Formats: sequence, structure tokens, C-alpha cells
Amino acid sequence: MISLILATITKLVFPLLILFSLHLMWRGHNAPGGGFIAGLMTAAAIVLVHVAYRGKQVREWLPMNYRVLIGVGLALALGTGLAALVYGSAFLEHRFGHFHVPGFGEVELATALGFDVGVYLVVVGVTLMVIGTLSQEGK
Amino acid sequence: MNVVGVIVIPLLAALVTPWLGRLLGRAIGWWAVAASAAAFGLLVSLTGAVHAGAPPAWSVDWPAPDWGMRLALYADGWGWGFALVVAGIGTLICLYAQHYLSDEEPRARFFLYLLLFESAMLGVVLSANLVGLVIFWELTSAASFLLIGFWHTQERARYGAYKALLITGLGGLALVAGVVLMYLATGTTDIRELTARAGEVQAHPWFVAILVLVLLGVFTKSAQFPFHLWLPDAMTAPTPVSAFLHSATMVKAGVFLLGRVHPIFRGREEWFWIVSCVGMVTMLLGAYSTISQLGLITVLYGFGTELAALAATFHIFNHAAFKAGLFLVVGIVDHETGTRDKRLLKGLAKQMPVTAVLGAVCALASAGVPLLNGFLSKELFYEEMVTHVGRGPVWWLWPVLAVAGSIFTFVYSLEIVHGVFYSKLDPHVEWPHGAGHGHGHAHGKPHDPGWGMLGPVGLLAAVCVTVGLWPGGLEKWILQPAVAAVWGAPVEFHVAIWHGFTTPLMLSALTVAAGLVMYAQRHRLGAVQDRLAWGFGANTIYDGALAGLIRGTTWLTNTLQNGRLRTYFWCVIVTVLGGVGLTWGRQERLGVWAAEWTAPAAAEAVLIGLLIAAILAVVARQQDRLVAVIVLGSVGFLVSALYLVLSAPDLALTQLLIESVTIILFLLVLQRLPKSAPPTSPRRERLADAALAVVFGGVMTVLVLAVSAANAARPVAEFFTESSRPRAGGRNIVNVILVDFRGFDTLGEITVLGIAALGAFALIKLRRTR
Repeated sequence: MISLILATITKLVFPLLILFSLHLMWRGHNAPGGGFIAGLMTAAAIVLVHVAYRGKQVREWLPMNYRVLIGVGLALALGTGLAALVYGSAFLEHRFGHFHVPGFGEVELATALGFDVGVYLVVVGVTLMVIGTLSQEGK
Repeated sequence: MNVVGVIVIPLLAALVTPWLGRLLGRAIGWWAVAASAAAFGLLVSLTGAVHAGAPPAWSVDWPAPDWGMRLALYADGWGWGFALVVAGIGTLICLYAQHYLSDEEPRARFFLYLLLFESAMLGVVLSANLVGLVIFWELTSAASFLLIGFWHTQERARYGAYKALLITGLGGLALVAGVVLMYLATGTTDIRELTARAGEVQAHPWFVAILVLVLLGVFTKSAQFPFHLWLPDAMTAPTPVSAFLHSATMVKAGVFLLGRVHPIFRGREEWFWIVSCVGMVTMLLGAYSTISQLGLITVLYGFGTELAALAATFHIFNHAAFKAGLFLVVGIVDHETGTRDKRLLKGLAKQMPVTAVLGAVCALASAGVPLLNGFLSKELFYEEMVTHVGRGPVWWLWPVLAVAGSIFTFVYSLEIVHGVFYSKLDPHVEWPHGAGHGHGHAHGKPHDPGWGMLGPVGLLAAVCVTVGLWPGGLEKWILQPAVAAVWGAPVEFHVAIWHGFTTPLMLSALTVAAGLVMYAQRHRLGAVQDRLAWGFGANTIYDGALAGLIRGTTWLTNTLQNGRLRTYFWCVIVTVLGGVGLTWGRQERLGVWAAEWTAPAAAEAVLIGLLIAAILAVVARQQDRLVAVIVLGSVGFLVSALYLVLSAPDLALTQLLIESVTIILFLLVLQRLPKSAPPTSPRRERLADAALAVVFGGVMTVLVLAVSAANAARPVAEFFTESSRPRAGGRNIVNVILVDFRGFDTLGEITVLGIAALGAFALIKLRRTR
């Protein structure tokens, strides 16, 4: 049974939630936010879709295996650490710099963001995998 | 770099074997032959440097040089000579195995294990650092486990593999402890330095502990009494594996280490008594020939004299040659007839004359018959035993026992030569072709195999004869540098075939004569031997101990992991309380009351605390699970409000999200539980729980207060505040700590998260399929 009100609102809110979570991750280095929080928010948003639409629809919209996300996230986090070795820095030593992007002005980019994206992916993957297995089990 | 190559070549060759195996198919064995031969060639190219007394060395300050852990290799006379034997026999074994294995067997896997093992063994003998040696040592145990259990569909192979791994693995742990103690005593793990400071080690109060621990490693590995019992069971491996493991490697790793630590430990009474007595008991009880020969070598190292070092080192090389040859001959017989049963195997010389001759040469060398290499080293052994007769009242026992042990060796060697090959052939014997391991041939009579299997045996037999007739060559090229390294200083000696009519020669003659008599009476002897070999029931102890261990761990697991959440909570909380209590007990004062407390937003905090307490009171009385969970969730939201009040927006945000997700998780779990209220524990348990909760809460509160009262000279928070912006380019200190300053921690945490999720996934899915 799908609640029409919940489904409609979810359709509207879901993209905003995802965008907001990405925003949280992006600004995490300088303001409250970061990969962990953003990951939880994304996971919560996807769970909302699950609640509103009952699984099947979600698998159509987001056809992905959450287990893979964990692996990709870990690899990314580890990769940023290893990349530092290539440049002769210590493992996981991050760098940052300022770049001028037309239309945006001065933008600061840090390799730490790559690490944070890794954290984000792992958190999303872990949360959804555990919730997903439990909810399947319940049926 | 050359020394590294010796280890790296077989290792790399092994690692590509699985892929190359698909490409080359049956021919993959030639790849292994080439790799071993390359390692051998590389070793030969080092000859000049070794002989010049400048051992080629290589080292890297990794992984932890400050802790004595560095990877260092060197090829002194001892390591180099041993490596030559390992790589040389390794090459022959690969060649032999290429022809021995049947087409149905996973060939690439076999050579993968074999090359891995060879690489690890070369690592053991070329290590200049004890830590590195121990690591390679354990690798040989692991690789030998795979090799012994190669026919893993057979119960006996699995049993043998586990036994070898357990016994040598336990010995390996003792060795680790010995090395650690030695490091603590001297501050070094470098073998050369330890040798130079042998006096210091021997004078140290821990000497006996170090000695015993190291020797436990040695004795388990080289199958000395009472740890010999893994060896017979390991024979269930494919014959080329047994040939490699029990002639030149594995068991010889123990003997090698004995030679390695010889200059560090020798001269102490404890060394002599432990090593020599264990060796002698092994030699006498080991009716299995490899064990007995290993006992002989061990006895000699225990004596710790120049002559003994020479005899032992010499015998190691001789034993490697004739024992590998013998094993390969047994393999040929097994391969051709399909059985290893001695009662069936008779008079095979008619059908396989070349094999018979080669087998006889190796067996007679093992028996110590003149003009073969085994005779020379056994002669030296007798000489050493006789030399010490005058030292004490019962010292005459040494040569007597030595002769007794050698007679046994002579008898079973004769059994192979006469019994298997040159006795009368039973014309009606039916060979169980295809029995055993599925590599029997379908054709009629057993016959000599092709050169691929005979060649290696022929070469080994040729070595036995050459060394027996002309020991000077081996002496000059290999023995001189090896013995010098074992002794710790250059040694003057000359191995000769003819010494004149000396006592050792008489003892040799006595051995042969007594051996012949005993062989003639072998039927009566067999029964006695069986009783000797199994009478002390070491296997019963092993099996009993193993079963007991499994019973014990089962009991422990069932007691601790009984599935009741209450038990787990009690375990965790009591452990934490104990740990905190122990640590606290050592502090002089708590420091809690002396501190001046500043409490930002105290009023709000107290208010939120009261609210939380009120909600918890409601939860505790709630009978409906669903309501309880949702009400409990509001505690989390209040905590995040507390974070906000205390200006920690990141924490507040995290707490908020975690709380939401946790409630969803909770609800998912709840739908699997019965709707009715959970049964309440008895009053007594609830009171105990309440008491524990109060104590734990109180301790935690005081702990937090104490920690924040402990003023560090410069709070770490200041560092983070100052450096976050300039050094990491971020204004959000919490995030900068997470991804940058403490990035390694975070990496560990997300790894744990991932593993936990996989664990949960596996647990739930597995339960479902059951």
C-alpha cells in the first residue's frame, strides 16, 4: 500500500535532500557538514523513498548494489592516502590549493575532499546494506 | 641485489604460476624448473664473493628498524651452501614432479605451492636478521601445510597437514618469543652482531629461557623427540613434496637454525645436554630414517666442538643428497606399481634395473657404506663420540648409543636394497594399478620411468658417489666456508677416505656386521621396532590434547556467547570497570575535586539532563516495544540539542541523523520480534542490573570529570584551532581532524564499518538459507 501524500512529497523532497547532502559534504571542510553527515543524510533520503514506495520502485530508480559502494568508498579513501606517497608526502598527508573557476570565483580544493567522498560512499553503502538486508529479512 | 634475487625469482615465478598455468597447460612444470634453476644459477654466481670471505649482503630499513625489525639478507658460507642445496634439489624436484604428476591433478597449483615454499626456505637460510628469519620460517610452515595437504580430498592428508602446521606453528611461536627475549636482552636482532656478542647473551640471566624457546622452534621443525610425530603423517604428501620437505628443506630448517645459533649458544652446559640428549633420543627412537638422521645431526651440534660442527655440517649435505634420492626412488616405485606397501614390493630389480641401482646407491650411502658419502660423515660422527669417552663416568654411552642408532639405519637401508629390489620376485603379485592417487599407469608390468624422473635420481646418486670417492671437492667449495660460518671462525680440517685402522673404522665395521645379523633376523626385529616407535604414545597425547582443546574452546564459547544480551553487557561493563579500576589504582590522586569547573550554558544543560532522565524513567516502565523505541529516540534528539547548546553543530547534526537512522533500524528489527511484551527478568537480576548501572554511570561520570580536569601543558585543542586553517585549509576543525589530522583513524573506522556491514549481511543471509 502506497500512501499518495507521502509518495508525492517524497518525489519532491528526495532531489532536494540529495542536493543538500552533497552541499553538506562540499562545505564540510569549512562549515558544519562533511562526508559522514552527508552520507547519513543521503542514506536517510533513500530510506525515505523505500518507505514511501516499497522497494521495487527504488530498485528501478537506483539500480545499484550498495555493497559495491563500500568497496569503492574504501578504495577512494585509501587512494587519496596512497596518492600522497606518489608526491613524496607521508601517507594520507593532504594538500590544498586555490583555483579560479570562471563563474564561481576563487574556489578552494583540498585532496581531503576526495577522502571525504570515500567516507560518504562507505557510510551510504553500510547504512543501506544493513537496512536493506534487515528489511528483506522481515518479509 | 643478487641475494634478493635468489628469493624473489621463485617468489615472482610462483605468483604468476596460476595465470601461466592456463597458458602453458601441462608444461607449467618447466616454468618451475626454470625458476629454481635461475635461483640456483644466481647462487653459483655468488661463489667468488662467498669464498673471498665477503658475504654478499642486502638490507632495507623496513618495516621498523627502531625495533630491530629490518629486512636483511646475507649469504655467508652456511647460508649460501644451504641455499645451494635448497635451490639445487628444488630444481630436481620440479623436474621430477613435472613427470610424476598425473594429468588430472591441478599442476599449476602444485608448482605454485612448491615455488612459494622454496622461496620461503631460501629466505630462512639467507636471512641476516632474526625477525626476517622468523617470518620466512612461518612462511615455510604455511607453505608446507598446503603441500602436505595437496591431496586434500583424503582424510589422512588433511590430518597430516594440520598436524604439521600445529606442531611446527607452535614451535614457531616459541621461536618468536625467544627472538623477542634476545632482542630485549641485547638490543639487536642481527645474527652477525649476536654472534659477535655471544658472551653477552650467554651471561644474561635470561639465557636459559632464550635457549629453551629457540630450541623449541628448532626441535618442532626438525621433528626431534617428542615433536617427531608430525613427520610420518606428513608423508601422505605427493612423493616429490616429501622428498623436498624431508631432505633439503622444512626439517632441515630446524637443523639450519641450530647451525645458525650454534656460535651464539655453544659452550654452555645447557646447550650441550639439551641438544645432544634430545638428538640421541630422537636418533634411537626414530625408526623412521629421516628422523633418526636428523637426531644424529642434532647430537653433533650439541657437542659444540670444531670436529662436531664439521661432521654435522658435512652430514647435512650428504643426507640431503641420499635422502632426496631415496624418496624419489620410492616415488618411482609407487608410481610404477601403484603401492607403497613393503610387503608387496619384492625383487623389482628385474623389472626396473636402473631404478634399482640408483636406489641401492642412495640407500647404501644412507647406511654409511664405504666409498659413499654417508660413510665419511658417519665416520666423523663416530670420531667425535669416541673423543669424549674420557670426560666422565658414563660418557662411554655416547659411542655405544651412536653405534646402536646407526645399526638401525643400516638395517632399514638394507631392507630397501635387498627387500624391495634384489629379493626374489613373486611372480603372482598383482600390482594395484591406479590405486593410491590416481597416477598409476594402465599398462602391465612396472618398468624404469623416463629420464625426467630417473635423471634427478641419477644426479643425486652421482653426488653420493662423487663425494664418497672425492670429498675434496665438496670440502673446498662448500664445506670450508659453511663450517667456518657455523663455528664462527675459520676451521682447519681435511676429510679423508682412509684414516688407517682407527676406532671409528672399527665402529663402522661393527655397525655393518651387526646390521647384517639383524637384517637376517629382521622378522623378529620388526615387532620390537614397532613397539619402540609407538610405545611412548606421543600420538595419543597429541590427539587427546587437540580434542581437549576443541572441547575447552567450545565450552568457553558456549558459556560466554550464550545468546543472552544480559551476559554480554555484564562481560563488557565489568571488564571496563576492571580496566578503569586497575589504571586508576595506580594514580596518586583523582584530580577531580581540585579542578575549577567552568560550565558553559549550565542551566540549559541541567534542564536537558533532567528531561533525559524523565524520558528514561518512562522507557523503563514501558511494556510496548514500539513505544519504548520511539520514546528512547527522543533521548537522542535531546542529546543533539545539548550539543547545539554547547556550540558543537557538527556533533548535533551527526547525532540527529544517527538517531533517525537508528530508529528505522530498530523498527526493522522489531517487526521480527513477537508483539507481546518481553518477559521481565527475575527481581534479583533486575536489582543486580540496576546496581551495576549505577556504579558504571558513576564511574564514567567521575572519569570524564577527571579527564577534563587533567590539564595538559598545552591543550591539544589549541593546536587544532591554530593549525586547522593554515595547515589543512579548512575552517571546520571537526572535519579537518576527521579527514586530515586524524585521517588514518577515520580510514580505520570506515574499514571497520564496512567489515561490520559485511558481517551483518553474511549473518542474516546465512541464517536465511539454513
